[in-house]
Amino acid sequence: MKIFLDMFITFFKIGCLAFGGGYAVIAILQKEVVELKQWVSNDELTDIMAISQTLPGIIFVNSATMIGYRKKGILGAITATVSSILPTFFLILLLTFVIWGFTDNIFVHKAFTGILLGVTALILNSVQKTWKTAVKHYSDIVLALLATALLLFTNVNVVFVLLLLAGLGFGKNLYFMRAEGKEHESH
Amino acid sequence: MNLIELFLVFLKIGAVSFGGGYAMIPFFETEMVSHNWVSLADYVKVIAIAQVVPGPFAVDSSSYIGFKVAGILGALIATLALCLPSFIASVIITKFYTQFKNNKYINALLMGVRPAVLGLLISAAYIIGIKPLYQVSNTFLSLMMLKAFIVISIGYYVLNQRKLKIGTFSFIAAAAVVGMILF
Repeated sequence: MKIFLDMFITFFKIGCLAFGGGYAVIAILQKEVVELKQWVSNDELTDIMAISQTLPGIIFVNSATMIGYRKKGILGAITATVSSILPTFFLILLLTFVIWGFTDNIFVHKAFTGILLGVTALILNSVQKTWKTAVKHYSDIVLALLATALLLFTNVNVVFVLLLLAGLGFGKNLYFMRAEGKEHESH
Repeated sequence: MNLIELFLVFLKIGAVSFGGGYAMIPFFETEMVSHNWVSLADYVKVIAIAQVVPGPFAVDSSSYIGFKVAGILGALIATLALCLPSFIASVIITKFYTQFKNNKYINALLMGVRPAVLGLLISAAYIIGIKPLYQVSNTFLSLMMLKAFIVISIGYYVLNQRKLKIGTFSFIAAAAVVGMILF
């Protein structure tokens, strides 16, 4: 029982500290879960982060689920997942409730415009980071451009765009793998 | 009825939102606008507020949208539905990790979807930075757009200066000040 309480408190705390998105949280997980609690090793955490990024959904929550599951099975997974989400869940509702009345104020409105442009720059920055892991071949650039064009210039539903691109990327990678395999055979 | 629809929509988003984080913005935007749940103008306010709230920004989105549709129960259902698909996937993958790691079909799929994430991110940048301003002025050729373009470019440049090592918090605070002066 004590381990579940410990897990709840630890992931709740990480949820309170996790400013700045998925990648910033890696350092906090390293300190809390690897060094202090020793629930997983550093190598395991690296594996967990790599898988979390490839799965759909939230990177931080995915890694919390995996750490919880490794330590204490399905109950551990539930405990870690719920406690990592709770701080955000309550804080955003509380803060929105408190701030909403002020958002029509002209200065707050101007500040928000500036913040959103800052967030846009942050997003473009993550385009640059994602580029390094996503583009291994010129065909990947073609797929990325196709996705961008469909999303920006057509009304095709975003879920359909994603499924289409996933299918194309899957087929393309299989084709290249097979071609590579044949090359190895002939040598 | 609303609750079931809310659950299904966020379950769908949770199942397909590869890339996480900002790459989820196009999914939220499409669904909330097509269901008439939240306007883009209101949603971008929440994104601005979310910058000072710790934790995953997708949870900020699901909690807010769910709350607008059906109160606190709606917020709870939307957030749980959003996390459910990847929860199941995470548990299964942890269990069969070694088999997954070397499966070429799974690798081909997980690698194959990554270029699409770039498209989602660029689309998210448009939805957050340009579209709200376009909805106000109805043109791309205005002084406001020019100022926005300059602010985004400078912000991007600053983030790329490794020597500066600027934190997200101070970056967002600076952006707020720039917004108050320029807009």
